[in-house]
Amino acid sequence: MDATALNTLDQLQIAIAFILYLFVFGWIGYRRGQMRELWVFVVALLSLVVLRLRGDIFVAAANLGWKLINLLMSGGLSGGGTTASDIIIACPDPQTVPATACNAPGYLFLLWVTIVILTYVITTSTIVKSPHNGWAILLGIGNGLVYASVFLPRLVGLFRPDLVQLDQPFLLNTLTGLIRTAFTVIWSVIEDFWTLVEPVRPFVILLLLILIVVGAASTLRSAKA
Amino acid sequence: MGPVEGFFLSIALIVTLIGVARNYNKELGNTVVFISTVMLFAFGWEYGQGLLTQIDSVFLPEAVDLILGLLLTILFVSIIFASYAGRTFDFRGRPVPPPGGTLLSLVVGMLNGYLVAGTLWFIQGITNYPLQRIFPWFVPANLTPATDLIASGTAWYWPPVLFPSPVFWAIPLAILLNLRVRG
Repeated sequence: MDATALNTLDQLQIAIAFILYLFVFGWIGYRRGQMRELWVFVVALLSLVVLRLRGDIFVAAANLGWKLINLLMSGGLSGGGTTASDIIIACPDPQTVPATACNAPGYLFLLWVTIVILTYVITTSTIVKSPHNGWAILLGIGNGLVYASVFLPRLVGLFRPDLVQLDQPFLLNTLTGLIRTAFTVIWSVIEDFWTLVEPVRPFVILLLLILIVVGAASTLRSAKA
Repeated sequence: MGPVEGFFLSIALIVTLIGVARNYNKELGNTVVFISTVMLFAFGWEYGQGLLTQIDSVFLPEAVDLILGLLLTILFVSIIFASYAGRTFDFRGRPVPPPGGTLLSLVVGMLNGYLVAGTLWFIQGITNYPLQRIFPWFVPANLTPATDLIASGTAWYWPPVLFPSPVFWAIPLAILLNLRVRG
């Protein structure tokens, strides 16, 4: 079902859940700081794109490595030339190689998760100066959106296994689709709210106006600081 | 969206961009001036409509519209220029660094853009688009008179007729002035 076809309260729930989700990642971003979050964001997004477009290279590399290990384990280097080349050139057996056409998406997913976790660990331990500012919040939210596009389609399997399709490693259009749908739902909630407050619309506008000017003026810092 | 909307949205966009470039501590000072002017126009509209009708009945309505439209536009543009020129109501203090500060500048700039473009549109609307007679290619010919638009609730978003009473504008103005004086 299209999310925009839901009733207002359902849309409101989705909008609040989405905003809270972004808030959590924004908070994490603020805590970790700008530089750490920037590295994680760049690595997560770049590896996502590379694995999506050139995943076959990593699948082939993994298979080759696996076969090489098999070759070494079977004493291929000490055996005859025929035995060694047979093992390396042999068509990958789905039961013996880590990544085949069938499980390549899962393999690439695990590889991406490993890269992201390693980036978190490395940036936490190596980057000391990481300013806690608004950019850190935005980058944290960006990371949250990237993770949502990767994890949400898989997490749906916990509730509706029939809806999950894992035949693609990562769908980049999931990210854009997620953002588009989320903001459509939020916009729809705002429109419904606007219709709801029609009788008292001038007061709502006045309140918004006061919030804007007071909010902006109250953030001005003392010139002496 | 027609050419009229496009034209006034362009003005709003330009004012918004100026706001982003100048930062919101300075833009809030302009907001004080713009709100005061909008309130002035709102009071004028509230209590001056009858006078306008009387003048229209004595003189040629088209001529009255043209002269009034030009006078009000020049007056309002002069106020806008005066609010940007020199040190006016700039708020003291340093704005927060980007991106928070930029976002606030964008919001305050959008508010100012709305106030400026909306009031210019209001002036053109209540004087039945006199620019149309000077530049016929500029505005479509089949425009509904502003009084009908306001009566039907279509033009409620023009700043001077946004609230049921002009006094509503005094509330944010008083708050802003209070914040400005306290520093």
